[in-house]
Formats: sequence, structure tokens, C-alpha cells
Amino acid sequence: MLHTLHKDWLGNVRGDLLSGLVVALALIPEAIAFSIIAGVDPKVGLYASFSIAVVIAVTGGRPGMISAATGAMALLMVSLVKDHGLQYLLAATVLTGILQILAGYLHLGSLMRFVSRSVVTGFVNALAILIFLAQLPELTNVSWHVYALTALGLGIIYGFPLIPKIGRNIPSPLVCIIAVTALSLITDLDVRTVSDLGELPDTLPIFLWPEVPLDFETLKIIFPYSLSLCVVGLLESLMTATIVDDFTDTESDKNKECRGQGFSNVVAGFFGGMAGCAMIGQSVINVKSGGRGRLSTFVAGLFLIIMVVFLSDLISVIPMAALVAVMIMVSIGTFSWDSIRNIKEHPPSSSIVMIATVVVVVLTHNLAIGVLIGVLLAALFFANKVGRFMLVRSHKPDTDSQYYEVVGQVFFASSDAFVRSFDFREVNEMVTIDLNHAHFWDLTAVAALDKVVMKFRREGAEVILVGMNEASRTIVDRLGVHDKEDVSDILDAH
Amino acid sequence: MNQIIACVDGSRVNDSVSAAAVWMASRIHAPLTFLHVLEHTDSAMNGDLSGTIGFDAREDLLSELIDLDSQRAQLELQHGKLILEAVTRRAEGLGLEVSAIQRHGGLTETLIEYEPVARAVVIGRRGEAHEGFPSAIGSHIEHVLRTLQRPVFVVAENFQEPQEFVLAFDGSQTAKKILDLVVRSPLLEGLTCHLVMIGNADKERKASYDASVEQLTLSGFSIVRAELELQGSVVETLVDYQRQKKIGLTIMGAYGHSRIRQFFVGSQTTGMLQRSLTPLLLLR
Repeated sequence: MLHTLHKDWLGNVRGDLLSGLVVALALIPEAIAFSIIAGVDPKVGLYASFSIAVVIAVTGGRPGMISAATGAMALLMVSLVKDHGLQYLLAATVLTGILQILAGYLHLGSLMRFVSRSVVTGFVNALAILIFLAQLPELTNVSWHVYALTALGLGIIYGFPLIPKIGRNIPSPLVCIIAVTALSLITDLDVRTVSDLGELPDTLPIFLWPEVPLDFETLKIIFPYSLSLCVVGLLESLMTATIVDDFTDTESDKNKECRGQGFSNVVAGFFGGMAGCAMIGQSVINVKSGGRGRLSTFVAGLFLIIMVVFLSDLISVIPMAALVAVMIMVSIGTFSWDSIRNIKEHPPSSSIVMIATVVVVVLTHNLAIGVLIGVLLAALFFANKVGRFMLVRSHKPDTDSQYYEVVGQVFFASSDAFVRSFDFREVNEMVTIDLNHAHFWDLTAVAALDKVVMKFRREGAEVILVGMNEASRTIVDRLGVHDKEDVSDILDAH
Repeated sequence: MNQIIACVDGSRVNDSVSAAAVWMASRIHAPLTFLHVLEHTDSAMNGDLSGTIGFDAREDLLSELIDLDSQRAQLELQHGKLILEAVTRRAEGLGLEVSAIQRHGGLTETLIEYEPVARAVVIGRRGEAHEGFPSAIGSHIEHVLRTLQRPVFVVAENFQEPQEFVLAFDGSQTAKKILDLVVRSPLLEGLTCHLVMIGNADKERKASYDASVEQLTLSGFSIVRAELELQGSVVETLVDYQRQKKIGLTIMGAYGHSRIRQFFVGSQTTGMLQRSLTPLLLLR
């Protein structure tokens, strides 16, 4: 244990320190931008990012992943802040954390296996679109100066890394912010700046109990918000954890990550921060910059608060156009362009799941609902596909009898086809139905079989069922084959 | 459970490890297996600190990382094969039954896998990562020693076949068990045993020391009695004695105490590993 602890924290000190610094610089504009999305002061997002990054570095299950205030979470709290104010948001954040800790102890992280790849892609794309859409208010009904500054900012962000040597060693979003700010100060442009949007932090965060009445009424207000925050937070965190797993070719502890997210949100809520989760874009930046261990996340949080507290005067004059440019970069980097290019090659059902997830999220601004729809659609498509693996063969041993052999999966999606496969018009004295090579998965299948037997008997035939026991062994709920050793025998027998 | 497993890597201690393993295997007539483990290290890329993520950031980064890893892994794999080939050929030349294994994974985890077939494990005092740090012990040693239940033979550079050995005796139950192991094993037959007891012994301990001397003598060992005054720490006393007499092998129990005790009192085993430059045979 000490061995892994040592490796997680001190296995890659130089890389972690440098990447932590890069991430901290990239986190500042994002935290401010996400506070603005949620409708709270920039300091709420900045305090949240600091608390979450520092706590998750210790408690998380995925070293090297960056968590802080995020757009996905900010979008969910907009109406809560508008209707009830900041204190209710803080209370909801604490409750979100508690729910996530519970989810961690109940091992709900393993439910992620029901979220298919198409849903994940849809989630990521929807997230990118939402981050982009959230920038539009800053770009509508403004003077041409804002467009010029944003375009300049984007030019710097993508152009600067092309410069040899220094281009790769100085974070280009930082260069963008400094250059755009300097330009707007020198030319004295009348554009919106960060200070127009609310208070920046001038002290370290302090412990505060959210000022809400501790009663059922409060719970009724915050619980629905906390629940969707909890779900979206865990979804994005676990997805990001899988992405970082792939990058580093290492495993992470998903349930520990759930609990860690919970602890960090509880702490964030008590220190005046909004709920957050893992960030796909920032985690990519962290790994790309050489970050691998817990130290990188910790350092990112620490540098962030140090810079913000001591440089708040400088931060307040940053034009919004510079932040918008950074956020557009984040949304471009988060979007999975591959999924658009490959849309022709992928099976249509997968593309439909992906697109449905995106559309629902963009319409509802709620990633939880989008994912739910995506998962349901994917399950239906799957049931439909498996339902096709059913076949009824028949032959006539002699003139008065008929022999049917059922092969494949019989369940709710294929039971109609199952019933239709029998010829009830034919006159027979004896009908044999061989079920040795069939699986009956649910009650619908059993009811369909009953129906077939009854129909034959009404026509005056005697019905013999062969292999019923074998076929019904797969009614998993009753017999629980999934935890018996002979499960492979049952499935291989066919 | 009869193989000698020798862990080799590309470090200087490699020759020693293979020599020690050959010595052990030929004395107890056991088959010898050389093990080379390809460890997965998180090698950070050298600095793209630009902080930008462009189109297909995830896909591009992933493929870049995979390319890097695969290049490094191929090099290491070839390197490991060459190492294994060299040590195997040498051991085969001496008429031993030799095999070689190359595995991915952590050293400790791999050794646990092979523990059921292992009779003893031979390992270098420090590996590739710590060359040039004289008192550093390898990053794996303690972990391996604590996890494995088999004897572990820790060797430094310049291994030479020992003619004499030091057996640390403290009168405990563990010490008696170790004594039994020593007496039963063909490994140490014909070697001179320095039975070392440190500090002022009470009557009981003295009696059990005498009994042990007798047991060893009966088993055909020539014995040197060494009842030493405590000078500084136990480890220092033991190392000093062994240096004076130029004895090439020390046998002792490993990590008999809990981690908590080690935290407060310190561990004799870790102390010996750091101080002693001669081979250590550690028994659980």
C-alpha cells in the first residue's frame, strides 16, 4: 500500500509539477467562465476548483485526472441559483457530495457498464456543444471589437504552439489571455471584463455553513438538483477516468473515485464553492503536459488559488473575449470529431443512439436526461438485435404429427415472432416442440409458449414439450444462473 | 516448488545474481529459472506544455502515447531477451537445468504468481533505477521480502561463493525455526558457521544458544562461537564482525515484526540491507 501511495504521489514529481502549473493556468479562465454559466460570482467557481482539485487529489481513485468546477454541472444549477440564490446552491453541493459518497459505497460505479460507447460519445459531444453555446451570449449584440479580440485569441491559442521551442513550453491559452488583455488595456477598448461579472476572491476560502433552513422544505428544493448533479458528476468523472485509464494504460478504482468526488463536493460546498466533477479537457491537457500522479491534481488546485488570490486585480481586467476564446478551444478539444467522420461506417443504431443523446442534452441542457435516453435506446436496439437470434425449424415425421425445434433466444422482443412461427392451421394429432436449443429469458417467453400449447390443444392436437427444463434455466431472475459455476455450460449447450 | 528463481535486469548486479543463483542451484540440485520482468512505468512525455487541445485531442494523444509505449516496450523486450539469453547460456554451460521467463507486470506481482513453484528467490540488492547510490536499496526489495513466504537471497555486486556464513541468533522462536531450516538444507553443507549472539544473554537465552551450537555440530557443521558485545546498534555489530572475519554470507530472519513496530523502532532487516555489502539470505 505504501508502495502505491509513494508511486501515486512522488512517482513523477517533475512532470506532475509542470503539468499542474499548466493545468492551473488553464483552470482559471474555465472556473470563471463556468461560474458565469451558473450565474454566480467568479469566486464561487474558483473556490470550488481549488477545493475539489485538492481534495480529489487525496481521495480520488484515478491519479492524474483533473476535477474542478465544470460546465456540465454549472448548466444544471442555473435555475436553482436564479430562483433560490447562492446559499441553496451550496447546500445542494453538499447534498450532491453525500449522494455521491453513498453511490460509491453502494458500488453504483459498476452501473457504468450499461452506458455504451455511443452514449459516451454522445455525452462528450453534447458537453462540447453546451460549452460552446454557453459562450454565445458573450458574442451576441456586442461591438466588432469583441469579435476581433476573440478571433485574435483563437489565433494565438492555435498558432502559438507552432513556434519552435517556446511554443511548446509556454501555455498558449495564457499567452492569449495576456496578449488580449494587454491589447484591450492599451487601446482602451470598451469591452466587458471579468470584473463586470461579479466578485473575485481576495482571501483563501473559509469554512461556512450554508445559510439555509435545515428543514424538509429545503430538501424538497435542493434534492432534485442534487440528484441530477450527482448523476452527471459521476458520469463525467467515470468517463474521464476511463479516458485517462486508456491514456496511461493503467487501471483506476471507479468506486473509490465516486466516493472521492463525493468528499470533494462536500468540502467544496462548505468552502463556498459550487459542485464540480472531473474535466475531460483538463485531464487531456494534464496527461499531454506530462502529468501522471496525484501530485499534478493537487498542485493544479494549489497554484490556482495562489495565483487567483494574489493576482485578482490583474484577473479582473481580463476581457471576456479572451475567456471566450479559451472556452471555444476547450469545446473544440472536447468534441469527438472522429464520431462525425465515422458516422457512415458505424452501424446506424449506434449513430442513432449517439445523435439522440446529443439532441436530448442540447434541448434539455441536462446531461443526465440525455444519457438516460441514450442508455434506453441502446438497450432497445440491443434487445431488437438479440431478438433476431430465434428460429423455429419444423419437419413431419409422419402424416399425423409435427416436430418443431426452437433455436435461440425467446424473450419479450422475440415472443411474437416465436408464436407466429407455428402453423396452427395444419391438422395434427401430435405436436412435439423441442426446446433443447432455446433460451427462455422471461415471463413473456413462457406466456408465449403457453399460448402456443393452448392453441394446438384447441385444434385437437396433443402437445409434447421436450427440453423445457433446459430452456427455462435461463430465466435468470428466478434461478440466478449468473452466479452459478455452470453458467457457461448452460449457454454453451446450444 | 523446487525452482530457484533469479530476477535479472540490465544492472551491474546482474552477473552477481546469476552467479549466486547458479551456486544455489548446483548445491541443492534444483532447476534454475531466470525471470525478467518488463515493468510498466508511467514515463511522462517530454514536455508539451502548450496547454492547448485541438481537433481530436483525445484520439491524437492516445495514439501518440501508444506509439511511444510500444517503441519503448519493444526496446525493453529485446534488451531483456539478450540479458536472459546471456545468463541462460552461461548457466547451461555448467550443466544446470535452466529455463528463462519474460513477463509483463510488476516484479512483486510476478513473483507471487511463481511463488508456488519457487524454492527460493535470488534478487539484486538494487536494480537499474538506483545505480550510483551506494546505500540505496532497490525499490522492490522490501515489498518482495514482505510479500513472499520463500527464502530470498539478496546479493550485491561481486558475488563469490561463500566458504563461511554468519547466522544471527537472538534466542527467539523465529531464530530456532531458521536454525532448523539451515540444518535441513543441503545448501550450506560443509560451510563453517559463525553463530552470532549479540548483547548480554540471560540464562535461558544462553542455554538455547548452547543447544543450537550442539544441534549444528551434530549436523556436521564446524562452528565458530561468536558471543559479541553490543557496539552501537545490532546491525553495526553484526556487520563489523562479518567484515573483520571476511565472511561472505549472512543468514537471518526477515521482517519478523509488524510495520508499526518498524515505524517506531526501525527494522533490523532494512538496516542490514542498507549496511551489509555481502550477500544476505533472508528466511521468513
